[in-house]
This record gives sequence, structure tokens and C-alpha cells, in this order.
Amino acid sequence: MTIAGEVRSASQIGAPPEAGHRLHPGAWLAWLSGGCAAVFLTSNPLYLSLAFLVGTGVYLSVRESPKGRAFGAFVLIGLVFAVISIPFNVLTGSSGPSVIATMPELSFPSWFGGFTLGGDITGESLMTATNRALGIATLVVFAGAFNASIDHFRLMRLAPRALSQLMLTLTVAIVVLPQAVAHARSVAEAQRLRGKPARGLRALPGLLLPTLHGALERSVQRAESMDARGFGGGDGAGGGAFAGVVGVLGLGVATWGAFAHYWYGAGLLPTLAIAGGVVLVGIALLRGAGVETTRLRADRWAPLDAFIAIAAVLAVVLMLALRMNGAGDAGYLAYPEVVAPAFHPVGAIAMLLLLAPALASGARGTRS
Amino acid sequence: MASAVMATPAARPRARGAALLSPLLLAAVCGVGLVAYLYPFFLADIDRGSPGVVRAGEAPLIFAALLSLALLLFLAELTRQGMNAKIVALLAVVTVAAAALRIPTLPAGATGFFFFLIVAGYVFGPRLGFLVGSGALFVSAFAVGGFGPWLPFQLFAAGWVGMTAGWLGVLAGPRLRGRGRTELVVIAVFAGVWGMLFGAITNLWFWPYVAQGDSISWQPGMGLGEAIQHYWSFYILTSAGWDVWRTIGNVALVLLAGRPVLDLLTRYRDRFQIRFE
Amino acid sequence: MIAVEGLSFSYPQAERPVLQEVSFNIEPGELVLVIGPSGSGKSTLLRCLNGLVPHFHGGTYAGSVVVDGQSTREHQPRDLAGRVGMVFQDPESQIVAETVEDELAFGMETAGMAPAAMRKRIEEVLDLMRLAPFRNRRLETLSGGELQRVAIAAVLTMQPRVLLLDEPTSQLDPQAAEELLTTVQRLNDDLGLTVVMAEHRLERVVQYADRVLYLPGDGSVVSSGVREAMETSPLAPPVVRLGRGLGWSPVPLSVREGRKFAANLPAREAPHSTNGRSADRQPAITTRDLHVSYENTRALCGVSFEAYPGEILALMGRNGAGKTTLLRALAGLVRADSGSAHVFGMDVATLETEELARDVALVSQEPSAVLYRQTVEDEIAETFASTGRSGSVEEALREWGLEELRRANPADLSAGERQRTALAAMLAGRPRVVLLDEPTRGMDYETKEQLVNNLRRRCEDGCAVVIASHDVELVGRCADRVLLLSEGEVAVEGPVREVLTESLTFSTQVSKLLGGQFLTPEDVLGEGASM
Repeated sequence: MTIAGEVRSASQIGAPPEAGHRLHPGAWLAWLSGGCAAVFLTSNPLYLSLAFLVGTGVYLSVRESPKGRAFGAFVLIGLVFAVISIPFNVLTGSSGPSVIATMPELSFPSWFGGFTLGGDITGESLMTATNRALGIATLVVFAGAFNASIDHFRLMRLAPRALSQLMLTLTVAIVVLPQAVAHARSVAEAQRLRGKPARGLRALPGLLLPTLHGALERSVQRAESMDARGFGGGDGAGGGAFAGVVGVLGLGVATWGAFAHYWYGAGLLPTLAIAGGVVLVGIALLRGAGVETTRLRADRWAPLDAFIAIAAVLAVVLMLALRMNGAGDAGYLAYPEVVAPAFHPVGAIAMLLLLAPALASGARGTRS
Repeated sequence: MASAVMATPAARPRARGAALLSPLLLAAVCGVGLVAYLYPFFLADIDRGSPGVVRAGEAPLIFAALLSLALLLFLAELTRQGMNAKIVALLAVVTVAAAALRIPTLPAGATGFFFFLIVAGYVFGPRLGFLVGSGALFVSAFAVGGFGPWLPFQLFAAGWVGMTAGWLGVLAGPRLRGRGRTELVVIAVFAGVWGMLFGAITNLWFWPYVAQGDSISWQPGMGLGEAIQHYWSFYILTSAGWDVWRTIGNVALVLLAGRPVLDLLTRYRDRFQIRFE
Repeated sequence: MIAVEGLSFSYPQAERPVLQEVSFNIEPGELVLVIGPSGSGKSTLLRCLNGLVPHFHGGTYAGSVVVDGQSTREHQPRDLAGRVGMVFQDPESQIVAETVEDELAFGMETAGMAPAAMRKRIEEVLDLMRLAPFRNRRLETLSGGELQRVAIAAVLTMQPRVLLLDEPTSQLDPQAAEELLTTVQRLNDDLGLTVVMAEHRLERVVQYADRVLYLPGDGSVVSSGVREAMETSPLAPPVVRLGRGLGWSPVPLSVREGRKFAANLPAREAPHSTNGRSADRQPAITTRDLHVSYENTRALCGVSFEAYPGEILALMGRNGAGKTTLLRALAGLVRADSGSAHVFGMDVATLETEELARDVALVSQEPSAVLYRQTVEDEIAETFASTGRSGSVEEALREWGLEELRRANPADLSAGERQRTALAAMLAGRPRVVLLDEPTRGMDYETKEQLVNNLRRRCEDGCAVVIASHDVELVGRCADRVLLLSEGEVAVEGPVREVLTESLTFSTQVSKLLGGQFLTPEDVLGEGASM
């Protein structure tokens, strides 16, 4: 899948020669997963702010690709949502002793979650909401950087044959949004050319159906082309199906571990589950790799790629160690009463390690 | 006129096995969902208090089970359809569209999500309907920050919306086809019912743990009739007011925008159906 | 190589079958042209030959197609991918990967070929298609013509025995189209590849073809030798029409073949140069020193020109010369940095596009983006509703020959039909200025003729028409004046007969053959002799 068509219009003029070596998609994947895991592992605003700055730095270093521009709108929307979520969360559920301000309030019966709209605004809830927004915003810039720099086709190829359809679905899903926005833009232009005066938000309803139509049409056309070129051909039975089931099981176990981490903190069992799940997925990948498909050239793991992947793993390990050790307030909670979070250099080092891709692109920049 | 839809001779032997597999998987997913929703009712004693805390322990497990089974269903469905890139493309676009529609909220909490999901399920059948429903709700949870112990329960309910819409399409679709207005009204009624039902079902995840109000809460060992009566009162008191808006929104959207969306999706479904003569 | 027997197919909910009881054979190594009016089923026929019909596109299917010994009933398109390669109309919607090499390897990778073998084939195909300099380029940096060559290369790496091309040039400008068709002809010559190609630019390929499959549009397919087909076909390139009109036998298929007849032709009086400009009328469009730039690129630098009511002005020039930008500036879609543009005295800079829309209609290159309603009728009615002009949908349908398609969904139409629908919809409001950007992409000769007639009629009603086009034959047929843009500046401006006959690259088949001021068969034969 590519978004070449949409991107073309934006960047038609001047075709720069391709930069020599692009980072391995696996390195980016490791960076994204490592970054997200590290962010999930902490609720300390100091580390989160650092992670956000690091993510923004990486995003800015790769944003200037045609694809980066196509995804730019989504990063912006994500950030706006993150910011809006702060007052929303504060207004719908403020509790705690440190009252900052008092708003007119509207209460719901206590047995219905007992939440209150407005009322006392507390430092505790403000801190919690800010932390959550910081987390979301960080994930948004991470995802933005990832999507701007990744070759989605190569990413798709990383999946074993048995999971290739799944990966294809994800890829179509990722790419469909910027495509749809580009299509909506050209439909809006067509409507203006026909003299339809609607602009901005009022034009939106009239755009939805044509946009959906355009997205469907394009995806189906591409599917047709893939079909005609042998995608999904042969009979990938046996090992493929096995790899598929193992991969799905691995994903399931790892998901349980990740969510268990997220919802009730780090424990041995969830951590083991994540590791086990990753191993199972790895088995599926290895088993699947032997089935049917071949690669023109395996994406090369250059030292830079290894550097990025190791840095990402290290970031997770450091954050996990910090959290289990209890030093440096990795699992900071604003309740029962808001206090300044503690700080430990290891947490900062963990987040700074995630700057690796930006350094890598800087290194390439100076070399060429 | 012998007709064979979506199956070519070469694809048949494997397709037959898969044709059994995917309904089984769908049944398994639904089974997990039912167990997750209903097992607290069979407990002799319930630890009342904050349901968020009690159920948060199970949520990751339920979620992992749902995810694994839904993915297997997806893989089985693809095999059944002959591993087709077109189904993949269609599913991805429809899911993303449904997810995107959950973000902008219409007045009073109604969204285009249910409307689109119901029409998509109606057109594409129960299995794809389930996948679109739970998939789209999951994707949109990232955007609306909807992660919490309630998420797996919402995923099941959204899957069921799509699934039942698929059943409606299978059962009533052929009879209603070409009768534009009636078809739309039937779907609108269906969407309206789900507007209330979705809230009623998703509230069940915490209801057994609610402690306040004797006449509206669950007591272990309660009979079915009494439980329904208590739950009804609870629902009317707590959620009906909100859900009415969703219902109105669903009905209005189906009546206003149902026809073009239905036609559009139907076109894509029909484009893929083959008949040999 | 290909045996088609009793093939019938109709799309779901279609009233008539697209193909009815079709039977023909194609021999190995043949180059077969599929021609027919737009919407006659050319694309469908090609899709039948690699199994996309019936496996991808649903409908009612009967009969059998056997390709290289494999029946398409039993084999899915993906299983046939090693035998039959297909290239689609729109290069952008068929690419899968993000770099040229990845795109070329895609099919082989899914087929599980050994890396060493893959590399060898990629090298061969890169050389064959002259793509070696592009091997590491990202696909979004390629032009449409280059992209279409990549699409063909990606198919060739599978070493198919048959190549199916579905109007591969419909999205390309003439230079790129010519280059592409030359390549196809070489593949057929050198490799003995069987080629089946739906194509409407017959002037480029007809001399290389062995056979023609003519689809008149009633579901039948007429197979005949190429010269035999050109004797009678209503779809014929200008040189063939000229030859038929002058009774040359055998009918010449190329300018080269026509030369020996032309040498014996008695001298004729050249048609006098018509000049649309009349001093007494107010210009419809006036621009003065117009400058437009995007980001850091200058698109237009100091363009000044006038267009008058009742004339057709052709904008010509290389890709990127600023033609599209100029049209977009006149429709208010891009803002000028400096200079002015007036349409009937209205300053474009002070008006929004939607306000201009009552008087100015721009039909852009990509018809599918312009169409957003559910039926052809609705598209036309939409224009009436939004411009506030009254008019008859019937009349607009009739003008563009769309009566039978009125209830069709634009997305289901063929490329040519969609283009006509876009024209019908945009021009329905009787705008006083018509701006067309490459209107003949994907159009057959008959549709072009219809376009020319409709535009002339608009001119008689006092409309000013500006066409940006690479299509020399169209410009020669209908334009009064030509404005040649180069790097955003006006390079040449003058009456069509002067500009086209003094040009080395921009000249029509007839002018190449006869020289002088003859541009079209009609110039020689007189109007009405086109058939």
C-alpha cells in the first residue's frame, strides 16, 4: 500500500534522489513498541514530559517526508484531542483535598459511578488528567513519527505469510485515513467548482459519503491489482495455519500482560506473559518466514538499526527496573494528595534513549 | 440455473472446512462474552464496592480472549472467502470509517457509529458484522481514550450489534430488497432498539457489584423475574435518559442517510458475488 | 494462446449483458487491439482473460476462457499471475510497494522465487523497460508515464506469456503515451509476448497490430485483421480517415504508409486561416502579468493573454509548464502572487470559487474526483441546484449522449463515460467561460468529435473556451488560437494554423503527411466527411 497518489499532488515538483540507507522497518517497530511500553510503564509527569519532548524531536526529524506531511494533520488532531481531554477529565471527576477552584456543579446519583460535573477542581485530578494527556500526546507523536518514516509495504512484509492478511488489513487501515482526507479535499474543491458555497464544518456532511466512496473504490482497485499479481496465491496451508494460530495466541497472551500492566501495575506474571507472548509471536514469525514467500533482499540490519532497537529495549528495561524498584516515582500517583514527583536520572536516561532515531537521521545527514 | 456464490471448484474442499470453522469461532467469541457478562450472577457471594476495581482484574483476561478469538475468526473468514485481498480492503475501510464516526459526537452523545455499523452488518453478514463492530470500537477507543475495565464488555456488545444486524440482513434482507421505504424503516427500528439495548447490555458489567438501593440492585440467589425487574428499574433510573438520545440519533440517521450508505455498501457486496450459468 | 468460447457476462443489476456469446482465439505472439466506444466492455473483456472476471468482479457468467491451457473458471487470477500479466488504466491505483525495486519484486516474492533468480530478472526487466536509473526511487517521485512503465515492468518480472493492457495511456500525456506504446511494441517484437491491449490512441499503435477485436457496444465482439478493420471501423486515426476519404487502397495505417499516396496527390488549396479574434468585442478573459508560485516553485511568471467570446483557445506546452495552474487561477482555486485576472470584467482575486462558478466552469483532469453524487442525473441536477441556473437535465444528457446512463452510478462507468459525465455536469449551468484540463484523456475518436461539436456550439452562443491539452489532433480540429506555455511563461501565441504547422513536435498526422496548413482530414475532405 502506498499513499503515493495523494502525496504526489503535494510534492510533485522536483524529484530528489533517494537517500542511501533507510532505517530498517524492524528498527522503527522496535522503537515504537519500546517507546509505547516505556510510556505505559510510567505515570510520572517528569518522565512523561521528557518522553513527549523526545517523541516530538524524533517526529520533527522525520516529518519532512511526503508521507510525514500526509500524516501531519492526524498528529495535530491527536494533540488537540489530548489537550481537550484535560478540562474534560477535570470537570467530570474531580476529587481530592487540594482544591484549586470551584465551579458550578451538577451531580449524578452516587450509585451511578457517583460522578459530578463541575464542582471543586482539585490539584490531584488536574495532575492526573495532565499526566494522561501527556501520555496520549506522546503516543500520538510516536505514532506520527513512525508512520511518517516507515515504508508501509516493507512493514507489511515483516509479517509471516499466515499473518500477512492481518498485516495487510492494518496497513490499509493506516493508509486509508490520509487517503480519505486527500480525497475529501478534492471533493470539496469539486463542490466549490460547482458553486456549492459550503465551506469548513458545514460542508462536512456533504463530504462524508463521497469520501467513503472514494476510499472504498481506491482500496478495492488496489486489491484487484494485488490479486492480479498473485497476492495470497498458492496454498499456504500447514505451517502457515500453524504459524497463524501460534501468532494469534502469542498476541493474546502478550495483550493480557500489557493490559494487566496498564491496569494494575507491574507484576511478575504480566511481565512474564508479555515476554512469553513475544516469544510465541517470534516463533510464528520464524515458522512463517520459511513458508512460501521469499524476499528480494532481506532488509539489512545496519549498525544504526541495531543501535535504535537496542536503545528501545534498554529504555523499557530501565523503566521497568525503576518501576519495580520503586525509586524515582515511576508509578507516580497524584492521590491521595498531590505532591511534587520524585526524579531519578535512570528514568530520564530511559526516555532519552528513545531519541535514537533522531540521532541516527542526524548522523546520516552530516555524513552525506 | 445452477448458482454457486463466491466459491469456485478449486477453492471448494478447503472452503468447506473453513465454512464450519468460522461459525464455530463466532459462537466461541459469543460464548466468552456471555460468560464474562453473566458469571457474576452465579456467584454465591459478591464483593460489592467499586466495580471498577473488582472487574479490572478480569478485564485483561477477557480482553485477551476476545482479541485472540476475534483474530482467529478473521483468519478463518479470510480462508473461507478464499484469502481475498478485496475482503481485506473492504473490511479495513469499513472498520476505519465506523471508528472515525465514533469520534465526532452529535448532540447528547449520539454518534454515527451505530448507524454505520448496523448498515455495514446488515449488508456484509453476521461474521464480518461482528468483526467490524468490535474492531471499530477498539480502534476508536484509542481516539476517545476509552481504555478501562469496561472496554472488553463494550467490544462484545458492539460486536453483537454488528452480528445481529448481519442476521437481520440474512433473514429479512432478501425479502426487503427493492422495497426502499420498508427496508429503511425496519433498519431504523432495529437501530432504535439497539440504541437502548447497547446501554442496557453494557451496564450489566458492573450492575451486580452495585451496592446502593435495594430495589434496583442485584442480590445473589435472586430469581430471574425479580432480577429483570430490579435491573429494569436500575436502567430506567440511570441510563435510559441518555440512551433515548442515542436511540433518536440512530433512528434519525438511518432515515436520513441510510439509503445512500446502504446502496453504496450493497454495491460493493454485489460486485463480489458471482453466479455461473 | 487464448481461447474464448461462448463467453457471456453481465454485471449485477445490469439490464443488458456486457458480453454476449463471445468466441474468439488469440494466437501466441499476436498483438491484438481491443477497440470500441467507451463503455462497450473493453475493460471487462480484458478482465475475463485473466480471471478477474468472474473471481474478483461479481455478476452472471457463462462460457469458458482458456489461457495457456488453464481455464479461468477453475483458476483464480492470483494463480494465473505467472501466465497473464495485467496493467490497469490508472498507474497510481495499481502500485503496491513504495520503491521501484520492491514493486518489481512483489509478484516474485509472493510466488516464492529464489532471491538470486529474482535479482537476475529484475536486472533484465529494468534494462528492458529502461528503468535502471529509477531502481531505488520512491514511487511517489515518479511521473505518470514512468509509473506506468514500472507497472508493466512489475508484471513482466513474472515472465507472463500474455500481457493485458487496459488503456494504459489514458492517464498519460502524449509524449509519455508514445514512449509507452513503443515499448509495448518492442516487447511484442523482441520477446514474442502475446499482447492484448485496449487503446484509443490508434494513431500510435495501429500499424503494429496484427488483429483488432472490435466491440460495437451491443455485447458482441468482431475479430478481424487490422487493415480490414480500418477499412470500415468508425474508430480510426486521422490518417486512415484521410486515406478512406481520398479512396487510397490499401488504406494507410501510418503517416509513413500514407507518404507514397500523398506524393501523387494533386496540389490543393490550403484552407484559409481563421482568426477568432475580433477587435470590436470585449475579451472574456484578461490576465495581466500573472505570477503564481507553490511553496518555493514558480508555476506562472508574468502571463498576459486574452480570450474572446466565441473562440476556442488551446493551452499547450510540456508537463509542468503551468497549464493547469493557469486554469486553476482563472477558476479562483489558486491565488496569484501578483498581477490580475479578470473574467467578463470581474476581478477573480476578489471572488470565491463558488461565486465564480456561475460563469466559470473548470473540468479538471481527474473526472472521478469531480463526481460525487449517486447517479449521472443527480450530478447534472446538482449543478443546477448549486449555481441557481435553470436548465433541463434532459438536454444536458442528450448533449453528451448520456441518456441511457442516466440512472447509472458514476463509479460504475467506464473512464470515457465518466469524463463525459463530468463535462455534462460542469457545463450544464451554461457558464460563459469553459476551462478544460486535458479533456480527451481516455476518449475515443467519436467522443472527441462529440466534444468538438458541443464546444463549437457553446462558442456560437458567445462562450469562451480554454482547453489545456497535449492532444495535437484535438487542438488542430477545434482550436482557433494556441498559447504555448513554457516554464510558466508565454512562449508563442498565434492562430492554430500558424503555431501547429511551424512546429516540429506539435503537429498533426495530416500536417505531417501533407504539410502546409492542412491539420485534419476535414481540412482536406471538408466537414461532414469524417466517417
